[in-house]
Amino acid sequence: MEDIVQIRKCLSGQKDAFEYLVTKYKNLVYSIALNSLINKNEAADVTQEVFLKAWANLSRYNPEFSFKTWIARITVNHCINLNQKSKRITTWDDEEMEKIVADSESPEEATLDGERRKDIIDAINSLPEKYRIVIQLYHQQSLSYEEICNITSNPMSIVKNRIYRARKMLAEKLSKYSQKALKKGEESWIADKHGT
Amino acid sequence: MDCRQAWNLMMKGFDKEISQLQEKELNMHLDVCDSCKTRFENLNEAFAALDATDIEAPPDIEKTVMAKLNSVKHKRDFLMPYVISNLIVFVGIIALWLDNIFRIGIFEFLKDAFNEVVLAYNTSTAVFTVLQILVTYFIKPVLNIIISAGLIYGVLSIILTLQRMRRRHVSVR
Repeated sequence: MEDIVQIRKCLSGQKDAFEYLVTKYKNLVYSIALNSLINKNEAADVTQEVFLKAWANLSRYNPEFSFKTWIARITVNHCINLNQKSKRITTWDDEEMEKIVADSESPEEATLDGERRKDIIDAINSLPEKYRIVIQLYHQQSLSYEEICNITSNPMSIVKNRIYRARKMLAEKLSKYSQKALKKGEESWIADKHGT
Repeated sequence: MDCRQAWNLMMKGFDKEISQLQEKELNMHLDVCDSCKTRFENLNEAFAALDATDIEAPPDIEKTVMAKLNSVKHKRDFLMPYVISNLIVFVGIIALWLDNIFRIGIFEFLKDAFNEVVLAYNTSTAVFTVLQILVTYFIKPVLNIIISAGLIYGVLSIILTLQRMRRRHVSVR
């Protein structure tokens, strides 16, 4: 409700009210941009562009949907357009992904599981953009299926299917990495044994 | 329970739609199936990592955005009223044509229309003989262009309105 109040203020000419919306949603926008684009600088630029775009189109905002969904939708479309224009295959910012995984563990665990962390980064990185977006919106931004439908302009069946497939791809990738790690562990154990 | 059923329960679990009983069944399967257990643990780990993410935007975003706001104006749908009025006129003309065609038949309608055009041209030629050259080389082509443009505009208006109706809540691309 507070968002609507601020939007009305903005439309009546009170530009300062927009700052509230920028502060509230900048992390969401930046996060989506960072996950879709290549680097932090570009994500920061896109965050600015998205808010300016939202400001320019504020009179077209439909209060039937939440501002969060609307701004996320602008961001997703903006990033997809950018990627299509430059025809690039995007990967996650490694430094940021390192942070993602490191945040949940103690320093000791982080040192021990460096390989594992890299596997998770690679596995998420390897997902095609359309799958990566939905996985990120659902598991990172904790958005509901319905919100993701509105953001990606896809029907529920497609969103559910994409999340399902993305999880499956992720599980397969991670299982392969686990097997490789196991094999590597066995090899190094054998090498150690022969060495000693 | 087979691995496929276990996978479906895992999906339910990740969607937080799993019942206690289903969770118990899944755990029983995971206790005896190493492959499913690995998959489950891997995904759990990845999603927990994603969930724990706290990506923060650069602190100066507000400042930069607010500084640039003055150079950006709100876009208004100023063309919409014209589109709607044009639509009404366009639909009206089409309805009148159709009404005439259905009432008197297509051949009679075309004949009438032809006669009216001939009459109009004859009258104008009689009254404005001096302007004959202008009529031939300027007014008629311009009228034709206006009529064609009007028709094209009408069709485009309909397409635009239909598109807008289709993506009612999609105002920004």
